[in-house]
Amino acid sequence: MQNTKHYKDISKLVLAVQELSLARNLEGIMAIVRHVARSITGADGATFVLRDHNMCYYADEDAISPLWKGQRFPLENCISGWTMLNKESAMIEDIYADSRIPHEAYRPTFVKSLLMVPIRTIDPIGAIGNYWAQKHKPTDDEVTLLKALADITAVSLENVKIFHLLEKKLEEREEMLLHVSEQNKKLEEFCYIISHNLRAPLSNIALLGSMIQGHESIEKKLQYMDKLKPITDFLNNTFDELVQVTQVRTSNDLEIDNLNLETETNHVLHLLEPEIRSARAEIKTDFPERKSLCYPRKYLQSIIQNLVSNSIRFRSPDRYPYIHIRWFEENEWMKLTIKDNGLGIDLKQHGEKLFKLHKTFHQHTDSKGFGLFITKSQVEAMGGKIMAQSSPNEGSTFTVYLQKQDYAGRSE
Amino acid sequence: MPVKTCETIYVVDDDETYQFIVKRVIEETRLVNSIRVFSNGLEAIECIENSISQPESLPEVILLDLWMPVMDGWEFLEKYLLLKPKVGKRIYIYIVSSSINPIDVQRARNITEVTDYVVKPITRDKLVSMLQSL
Repeated sequence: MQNTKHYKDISKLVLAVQELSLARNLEGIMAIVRHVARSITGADGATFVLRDHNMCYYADEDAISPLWKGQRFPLENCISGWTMLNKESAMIEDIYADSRIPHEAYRPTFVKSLLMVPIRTIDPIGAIGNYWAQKHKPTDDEVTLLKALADITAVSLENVKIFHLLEKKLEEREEMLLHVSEQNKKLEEFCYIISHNLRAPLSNIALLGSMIQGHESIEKKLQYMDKLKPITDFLNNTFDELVQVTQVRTSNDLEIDNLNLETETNHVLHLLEPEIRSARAEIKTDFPERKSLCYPRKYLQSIIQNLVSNSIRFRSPDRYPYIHIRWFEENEWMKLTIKDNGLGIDLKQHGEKLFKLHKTFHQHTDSKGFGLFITKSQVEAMGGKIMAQSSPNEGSTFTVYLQKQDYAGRSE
Repeated sequence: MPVKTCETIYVVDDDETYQFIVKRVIEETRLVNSIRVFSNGLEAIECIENSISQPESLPEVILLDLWMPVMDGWEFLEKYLLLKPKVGKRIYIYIVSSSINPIDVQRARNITEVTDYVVKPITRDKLVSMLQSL
């Protein structure tokens, strides 16, 4: 008779081991343990207690009437705490006769006797409790079974921890992989565009070369040679911009300068003076009270220069350019808006391509398709963003959001 | 004197230097009577539309760039496909582009009206074999 019961209890334990091996979180483990802990010993209640620094946290329970689920007690004032601190189990036949028991906490409950075992004996992380409504002296078998359950629980908790760690690592890895493949796609696109923009002038040079070679007449040769000059100029400019693009893309540790917005803006306007004068452009500037910004000087100047010279280049033939450069603070951003009354862009048609590195048209030797792409890269490299608003024939407004960088320590 | 294999050829490309060069190279093959140059797809498609009633003035060959302002090569091809049922002449369209992007090449292959995809520079030999195979 005794053997049959023992066999039943062991099979309950084996079943619990199987179930626990499938548990993937703490809640899952607790749900199995509180139930099994009560049924293998035939107790009237079971608790699942977790150590939370110097407190015992009664995380879960399964009992004939409520015990202490959700409550916290100091390790020193509580029998589960005693178990964890002393790394041994506690077997109490009459709780009101034991000084380790906080009697007040037990008075509202049904508990007369209890058995408490630590989870992970070497360095306890919790405890499992068994409670009886009638005075009961736990048998050796009951103690052995509950200890075995506690050991399995410790392994399961450890497994869950590792499982979560792995899951997190895997997620990180997947995210990284996604990022890399996106970068790769961008790089591929970048290469095709570069090869397109370089191939066009190069193939012209190659053809002109063979034509120069293939003709006897000096006059013809000279005529073809004249055609070479604009192509090489174009190629040269394209190459310069290409170098700029790659510089933005590879500068990981940029030097941050402590800048004065007014000084830098005026410096750029000074550099653009010839273009401003020849276009008869009027420029208005506005600055916030706090004019300092930590940013790479090279980038800031390049951003302003690119946007202002775009405004001049794409001016309307019907009116003199009016460009409003406005710096202001908004929440965590230092914002720059550059508003013009120029040609404007049909964003519906071209918006998608606006900031992208794109293939170049040959009609405007001036634009090599890199300008706004570089600006965007310089803004985004420092955690900012750039947006455009525009209506054809009315003008454009570019808004740049720059992160107010911490001069002393940058997170990267 | 070689026999003219082609009455009219269209060159559709916005690159002025390329226009100049390819015109010379075609002239020197002496296989073509008339070369017409367009700076974008729109100019070329309008010319085809206007010539539909006189098929003899339509080109036998079109050298088409892909990346052009106003109307690019792809858009030109779309418009041409719509016109095609009314065009009473076999027109060989060659894409001549600087793009080596496989996406472009594949897209061109999927259009049956495109005879071939040529990556620039287009050499004299290539042009000659193109014109002689008509």
